[in-house]
Amino acid sequence: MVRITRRGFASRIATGAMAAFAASAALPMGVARPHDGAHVDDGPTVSADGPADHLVEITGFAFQPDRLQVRPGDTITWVNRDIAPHTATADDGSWDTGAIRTDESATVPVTPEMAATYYCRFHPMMTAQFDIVAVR
Amino acid sequence: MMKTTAVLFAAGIAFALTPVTATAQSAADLNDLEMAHVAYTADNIDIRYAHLALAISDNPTVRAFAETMIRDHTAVNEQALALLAELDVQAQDNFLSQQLLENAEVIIDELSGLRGAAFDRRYAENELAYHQAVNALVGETFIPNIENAQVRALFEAGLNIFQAHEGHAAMMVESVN
Repeated sequence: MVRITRRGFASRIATGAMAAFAASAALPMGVARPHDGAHVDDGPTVSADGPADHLVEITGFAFQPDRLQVRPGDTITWVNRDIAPHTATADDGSWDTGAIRTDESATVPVTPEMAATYYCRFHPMMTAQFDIVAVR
Repeated sequence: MMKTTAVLFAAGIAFALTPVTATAQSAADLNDLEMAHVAYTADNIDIRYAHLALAISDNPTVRAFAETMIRDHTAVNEQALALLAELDVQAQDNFLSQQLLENAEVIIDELSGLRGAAFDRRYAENELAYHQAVNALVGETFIPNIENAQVRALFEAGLNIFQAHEGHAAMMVESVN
């Protein structure tokens, strides 16, 4: 069962994800990683060297952005800017933020095999997806 | 019978938009607090329809839609009440709110007598027609005539929600027919 966090707990999860990342990824020293601004999507909140939290705003009955690139170890945080409550729910039901009320948020950790297309259970015409790219 | 009630409702709205006698009122002449009352009444009517659907329908699509109507219209009403409290005013009852309630009684009488697929089809059809009518009223008559900027902003947000509901209702109509 994927652990879903609500606001207030997101920072704890991010810390745990960072520790896991540092322990598992034995990156060779001296390898130059491209850092020319070529990476895509929304601009994660930490540098490309570590796990990132990706923000998706729910506004006007849409997920913004409705497509983004994420890596295992990252997290995705949905923030609801609408009056109506929404969810982010995997199409196959394997993960679900549950109801997110106005100005609340919920965070999901990205794992390599997780379902990457999702919708709002309350308003099924709202759909979005993300692309899980390999850890560099 | 089905068409009659839809026409009655539409006629109720149409009548309200054109003054016929000296004492008749039009929706465009309502003040901000009366419009707020109409919006609150319209939300509550849809919540009542939804409770009826949860009492009668077994269809998962209909039930999910009804739960969303309760959730969303309750959230809008909470915002409306919060704004009225902030402005230190109260919504004002008016002819249009009363008309909406009278029309709703007719629909509720009809829906209560239906079961199974017949209920689902009529509920879906009414939800689509209801949201279409309310959206037209709010978009074309209310929003252009609201004076207070905060009230207008709330109506615009509400309209956005109800337009999404209209689309959702159209999907529901497809699925039950």
